[in-house]
Amino acid sequence: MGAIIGVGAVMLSYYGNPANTGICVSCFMENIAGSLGLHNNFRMQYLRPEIMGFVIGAFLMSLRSKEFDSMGGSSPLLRFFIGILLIIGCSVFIGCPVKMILRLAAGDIGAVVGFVGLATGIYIGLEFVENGFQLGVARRAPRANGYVIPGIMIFLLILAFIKPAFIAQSTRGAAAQHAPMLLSLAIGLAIGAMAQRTKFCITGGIARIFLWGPREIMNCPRSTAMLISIISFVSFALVANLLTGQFNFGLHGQPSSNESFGWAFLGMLMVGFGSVLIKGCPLRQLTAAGSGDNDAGATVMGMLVGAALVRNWNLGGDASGTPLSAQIAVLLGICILLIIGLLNRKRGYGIAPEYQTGLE
Amino acid sequence: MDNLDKYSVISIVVLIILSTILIFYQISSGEADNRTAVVLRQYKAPNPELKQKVQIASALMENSNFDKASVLIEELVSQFPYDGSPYMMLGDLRIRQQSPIKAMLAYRDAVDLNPDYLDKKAPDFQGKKIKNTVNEARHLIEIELNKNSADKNLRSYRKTVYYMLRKIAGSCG
Repeated sequence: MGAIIGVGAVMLSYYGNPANTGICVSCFMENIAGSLGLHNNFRMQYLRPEIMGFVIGAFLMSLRSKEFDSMGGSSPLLRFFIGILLIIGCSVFIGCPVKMILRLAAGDIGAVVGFVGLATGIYIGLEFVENGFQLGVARRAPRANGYVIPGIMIFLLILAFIKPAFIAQSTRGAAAQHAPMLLSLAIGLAIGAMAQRTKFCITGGIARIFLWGPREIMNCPRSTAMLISIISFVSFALVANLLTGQFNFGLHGQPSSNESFGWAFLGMLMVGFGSVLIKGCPLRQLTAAGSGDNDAGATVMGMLVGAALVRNWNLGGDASGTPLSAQIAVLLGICILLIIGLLNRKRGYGIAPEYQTGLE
Repeated sequence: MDNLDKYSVISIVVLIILSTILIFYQISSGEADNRTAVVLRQYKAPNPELKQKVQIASALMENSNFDKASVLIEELVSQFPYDGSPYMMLGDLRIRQQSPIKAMLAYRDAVDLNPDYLDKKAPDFQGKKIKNTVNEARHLIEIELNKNSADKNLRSYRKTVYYMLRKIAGSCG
C-alpha cells in the first residue's frame, strides 16, 4: 500500500500535478468544487480524476471482496460539519495528511510542524474517544444509499472526460497543472482499491501508537501493518523524489508552504482531532464512502462544501501566510470540535463499541 | 464534571476570546487583508490603454531613456494600482538600473496582483527573469547581512526573498 501511494503520488507530480501535490485530498476537492461552480477562483477549477479514482477503486474492491455494505445513521449531520472543518484545517496547512507525508518526503522541513500538529490533534481526539465519546452506532441502510457517492463519482468522471460547457476548467494556475487524465485515474483507482483493502488511514496509524503504545503495537497485526504502510509510504516517496529530482531539503522556498508555522500546527491539530472523532482522515472518508459507508459519504459532501468555503471566504493559507479569516476559522473550528466532543460524551464510559472495531 | 470536561471548557473559553479579538482586528483592517484575495479571484481582461503605455515605457527603456521611463512607470503604478504590468515594468527598470533588491520588491507586487507571471501555462509567464532577479537579490542580501546582521530592512528583504522562492516553487492554491 505504501509503495503504491508513495510512488504513485510522486509520479503524478512528476507528470504534471503541482509540486509536492501528487495527491492532496483538500486541494483536489477545492479544484472539484471550482469545476462544479461552487466557487469562482478561475485558477482552481478542474475535476481531479484522482478523487473519483479513490472512491470508484474502493467501490470496486469492496464489491469484489464482498465488503460493500450500506451502513449509516451515526450522526451524519455532525460528520458533514466535521468534514467542512477537516478541509479548512487542511487548507490552512496547505495540504491534507497525505500531502503532509509527501512534503516531508520531498525534504520540506516545515511539514514537521504539521505532523506534530496532526499527532497532537489525534491525541486530543483520543482523549475524548477513550472517555465515552460516541456518535452512535451505524445501522444497515437500504443498499441504494451506499451507491450514491460512487454513483456521483462515476458521473463526475464521465463529465471529466466529455468536458461539457457547464463544467469549468482552468487554463492557468494550479488547477491547470495536472497529470494525464488516464494516468491520474489509474493511480487513483489503484490507491482507492488498496486503501479499501488495507483500511489505510494516516491518522488511524498514528492513533494506534497512542492507544496501545509502541511496544504493544508489535502484537497487533493491523496496527503493525498500518504503521508499515505509512513508513513505506514515506520511504518510497522519498526514493521516488530523489530519483525524479523532486527532492529539495530545506525550510525556505518549498512548494505549497508558508512560514505561518503556528497556524499550520493548529490547522493540522484540527484535522487530527476531527479525523479521530469521525474515524478517519480525508482519504479514509473517501474510500469508506466508496465501500457503502453513508456516514463517510456525508463527510465527503461536507468536505466538498468546506472546499468551496475555503475559496469563497479566503480560509486557506498561501505563500504569504495565513489570512485573518483562516486564523479565525481554525480557532472556532477547534472550539466547535471541543463542543461536539463535550456534547457527545457518555461520562464514566470507556471506548464506545463503534470505535472498538478498529480506530481507522 | 471530570478533568476532560474542565480542560475542554477552559480551552473553549480561551479559543472564543482569541477568535473574538481576531474578529475585531479583522473588522478594523479587513479592507487591506482581503483586497488582494478579491483581486486575484476575479479575471480581468487586458486594458488596451495600459498595454499601449507599457509598450511606450518598454521602448523608452530599450533606448536607455530611464528618466522618462521612470516617470511614465510611476504614473502607471498610481493610475492602475490593481494591475501587475506597471509593477513588472518597474522591476525591469530597476534591473536596468542595477538594483536587484528593488527589482525583486517590484516583482513581488506584480506577482501578488497577477500570479500569471509565475504560471508556466499562462502567456504572461516571466518566471525565469523573476527567479534570476530573486537569486541575485538573495546573494546581495546575504553579503550585506554578513556585515550587519541586525539591519531590519535587510531582514525584511530576506523574508521577501523566501516568499518569492515559495511563489516560484508553486502551490496547489
